[in-house]
Amino acid sequence: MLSPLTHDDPASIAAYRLLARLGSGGMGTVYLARSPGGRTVALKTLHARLAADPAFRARFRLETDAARVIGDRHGAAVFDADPLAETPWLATEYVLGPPLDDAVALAGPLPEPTVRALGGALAGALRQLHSSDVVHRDLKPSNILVTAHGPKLIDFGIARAAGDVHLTTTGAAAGTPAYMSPEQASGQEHPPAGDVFALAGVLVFAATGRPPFGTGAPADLLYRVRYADPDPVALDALPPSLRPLLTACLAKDPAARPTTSALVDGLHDGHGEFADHLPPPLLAAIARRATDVWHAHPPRLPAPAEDPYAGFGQSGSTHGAAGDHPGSSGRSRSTRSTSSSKSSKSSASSGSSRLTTPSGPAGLSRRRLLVTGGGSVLGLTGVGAGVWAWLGRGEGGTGGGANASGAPSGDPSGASGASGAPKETGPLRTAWVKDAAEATGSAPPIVRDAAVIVMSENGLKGLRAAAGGFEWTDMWITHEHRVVADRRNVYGLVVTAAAEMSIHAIDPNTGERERELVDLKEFRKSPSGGQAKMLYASDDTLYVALDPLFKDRWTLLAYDTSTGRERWRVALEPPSPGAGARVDFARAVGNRLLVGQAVNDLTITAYDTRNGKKLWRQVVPEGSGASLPPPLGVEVAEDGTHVYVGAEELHAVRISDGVVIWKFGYNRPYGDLMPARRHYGAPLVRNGVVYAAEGTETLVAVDARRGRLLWEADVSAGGAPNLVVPPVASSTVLCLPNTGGFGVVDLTSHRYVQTFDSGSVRLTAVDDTWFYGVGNGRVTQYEPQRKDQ
Amino acid sequence: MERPYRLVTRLDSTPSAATGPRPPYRRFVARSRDGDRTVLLTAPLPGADPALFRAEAEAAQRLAVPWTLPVTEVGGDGQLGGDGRLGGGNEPGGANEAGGDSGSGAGSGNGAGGERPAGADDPWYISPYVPALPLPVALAVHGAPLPEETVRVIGAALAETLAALHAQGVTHAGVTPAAVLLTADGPRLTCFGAARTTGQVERDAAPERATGGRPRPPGDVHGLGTVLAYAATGHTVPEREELPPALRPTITACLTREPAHRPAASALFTALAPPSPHETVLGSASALLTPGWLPPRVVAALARQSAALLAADFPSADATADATKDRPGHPALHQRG
Repeated sequence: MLSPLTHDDPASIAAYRLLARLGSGGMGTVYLARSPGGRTVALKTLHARLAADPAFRARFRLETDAARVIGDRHGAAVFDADPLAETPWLATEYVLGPPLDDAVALAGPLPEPTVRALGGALAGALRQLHSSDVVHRDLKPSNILVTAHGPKLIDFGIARAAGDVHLTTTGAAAGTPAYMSPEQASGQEHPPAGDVFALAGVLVFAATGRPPFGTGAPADLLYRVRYADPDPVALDALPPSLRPLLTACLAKDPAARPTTSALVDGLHDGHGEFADHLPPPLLAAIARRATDVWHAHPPRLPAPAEDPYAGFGQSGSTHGAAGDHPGSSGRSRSTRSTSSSKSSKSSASSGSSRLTTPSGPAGLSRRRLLVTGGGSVLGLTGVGAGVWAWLGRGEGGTGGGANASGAPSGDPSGASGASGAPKETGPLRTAWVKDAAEATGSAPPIVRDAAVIVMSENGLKGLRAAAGGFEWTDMWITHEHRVVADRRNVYGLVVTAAAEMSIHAIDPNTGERERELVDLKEFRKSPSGGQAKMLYASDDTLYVALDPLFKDRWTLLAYDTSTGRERWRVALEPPSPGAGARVDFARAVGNRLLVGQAVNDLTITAYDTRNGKKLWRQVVPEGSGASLPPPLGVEVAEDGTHVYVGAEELHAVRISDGVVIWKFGYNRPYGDLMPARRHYGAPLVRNGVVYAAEGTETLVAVDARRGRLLWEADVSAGGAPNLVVPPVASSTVLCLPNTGGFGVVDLTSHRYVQTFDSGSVRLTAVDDTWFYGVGNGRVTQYEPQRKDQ
Repeated sequence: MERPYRLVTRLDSTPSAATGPRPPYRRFVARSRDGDRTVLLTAPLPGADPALFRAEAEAAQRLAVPWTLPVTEVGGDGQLGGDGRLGGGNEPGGANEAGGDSGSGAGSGNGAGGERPAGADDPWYISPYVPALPLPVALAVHGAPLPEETVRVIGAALAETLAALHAQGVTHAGVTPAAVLLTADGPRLTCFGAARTTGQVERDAAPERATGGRPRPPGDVHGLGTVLAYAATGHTVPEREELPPALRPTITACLTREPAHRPAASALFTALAPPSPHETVLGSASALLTPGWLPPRVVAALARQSAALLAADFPSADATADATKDRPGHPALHQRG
């Protein structure tokens, strides 16, 4: 609904200070703006490049006039307008109601009383409009806002009134023909009865969720509107008492359709208030709009200080796909349509080993596809697709197995220490590297005080962050599930040779076990020994899962970290009957402990951190399709309010009650893995934005509160993103793990700018500035490149 | 000195129905001089002790409890009443009672009858504006007592608030129907410390207060009982049979004469928060805020209030520099059919 302003939006237009973006389309941008006296308006502007064209200016003016004609009962009140300004603008009330298409998406097909009240009010609006000799011409669900006091018509389709073919040839006025009248579809004048036809189509959609003539290519729809009967499935789904009236409105002969007055009478008897007829989810959406507009507005997106990537960028931020709902925003100047960037990508990668057809063998495993995709990094670079890493190829790109292929790389594998580091071009450079062949990349490094703690085959290791030398090893802490850290402390689960288990606080600088917190002696009773996982440490509680009999019957325990006392324990339930009661992750957020069980689907269960009582359970489905690795959602992100899960769609689950508040990804263009089971990678949430890899080529940035696309970047230059490992970000860049290592996306320009062929690593960001990576036998610190380098 | 806020409208309806519960403070929607911030402004009624009001406001500023409005600024010392009056000529005539059915159309600056403020030293405090209806206004627009689900949400949320306050050793001392605002995000308990500020025993106060007792936590629980009784029946002292059967024991327990026999706020929360469809033990009343918790006409009134205040426009300062001398700050409120 409300998106941040972008850096090139003006501060104000006329006397109106801009607050946020409401939407952006082919004609212009709509802002939320405020007058000096504090009136908040929707400010619609015409793109400057279109404003130079008198025909567009004329259309904008007509639209302003039409909005005034319809008035503030059936339309948005017009406060002020200047169609003659350099950037023509129109200030109207900010209407507190969702568009009808959103309303149906949210509440499902609307109940008959709602459809009747809506239809009666819309027919009344058309009657008033027609009596002023105005025809709407573009009645469709997205142009009808449903408020608590009745629907409001916006966005008049008056291109034809401007008498300008040019508009349609540029595509600016081309919408879906799904609600066109047959007259319009055959290129004739659209009479008032044409609005009646369109209204009936809108009501069919409202009552059934289906457009009156189905969906499909515009040409097919135009044909069906002119010659075919309405979609029988939609008509069958209509409440029987509405069917005759709406069918009559859909007559091909305009003269055979009922009048607006007949519709007003036939649809609604006028009893009650409009709000009385609205279903609760729709009322809740209206209440939300009425309230959210008063909350603080999102800060303006930062401007690139300079644009060092100009001309090299593989991809910039893009608007949502054509036809995406207004509300997605992007930077107009540096954008390309999704389709054009996709096509340029395929041409760039032709000749490489990338699989470009979705018709690849269905049985091909995910892993093989990823590996094949990884090869394309080389191919892409070879054909000069303009990647930062290629431009920044350092003279010192020596040594290191990762570079054996001769691929240009920004990573000086094997170089140790800052001195003699080769020149790396991009926002990040390698500060130091410590070879440690035994270091596993199964978990990100823990960075505390001056120490970097990593898991290795030989046990837990600590090294000094500044110098990169190993300081200590604890060979009795041997698995990534046996170490956790909170903001202050590091805890390790020690398993001795005698299979005795105890939990200790560990000094991160020396590796000394400071104190024994818990002795898990009761699990020694089992003859086979048990298994244990450290799950999570909050500031005062440590969560541990124990499976004393190796039977996947896990018990969750909470310990007080100051006393080591057990607070509570609860036996975990299996995610589905018959499955093991395993546990894959746990996170404490406020007074909720979220426990994830990933067996194909991801089951999240919330427990009360104070007493272990189960509060709710929610299942995020992995999606359809053949079983492909990797498993879903062991890495989730949370921001205190919601937990975000990558799956076939990106999910946001409300932590308070487990309700899925949004999903992102439906109808997004798929990449090369058309029938992919898991389309979204493990997410990262930061400052109200959720970042996740999408498919094999894209990083998406999604508004955390609403699930709307903010921007996307093509990241295919670095190979397919790793969907299991979440991205990590500093204040300026985001590191996205991929098949060859990780890629760097600039968070200001939204471009993929650098590749590190480091092999598989796990990264941790520290102080919003530095990154530490572990994996592939090395521990590395990356630091921001200074400008003069 | 320039006033930092200009009043846009009253939050509470003109007390035309003298029987309706009235708030212990005057509450306005106001706007900062630069037009940027719209706020709820609370000021004392005439006769209240300004120093006590200010002390309570400053205490409220430091509280962090759920289901209250944050107090973000406390002022006074004549800043608001630069013309010598809080609202004197500054408040638009009673034409737009926020959220109410409006339209008393009283003369300019005269909308509140005998409630003219004392003078330039009137203190006030500020909370960020959100669309909100005082509970009595919500009953008026709904046209009937509120549904049981709504009453339950109000009860659970306010019980949560009181439990948090009482755990900190603080008594609210102002729990009355008019102190409760309904917003799209749940109820909000306002008017902190009203009983201490006014020095009077409020209408329908707990019996022990009538005999001179200090406000204590059981008095808050009694106040909550009054709020729920009012929400469920339309009056604060209902007959037992009028109460919805499912809520009857809880509300009756709150209204018990003997303070020691009233339930604790935390126990009230448990009694009012019912089990959810997925056998949930609820940690907060927020889990009860499912679509439909507010009746349709209350949502419509919130939306109408929000739309009217979005559209309210003060003439810009430059254009009206002269006009402000005698008739300052009439916002053009957008009237809708």
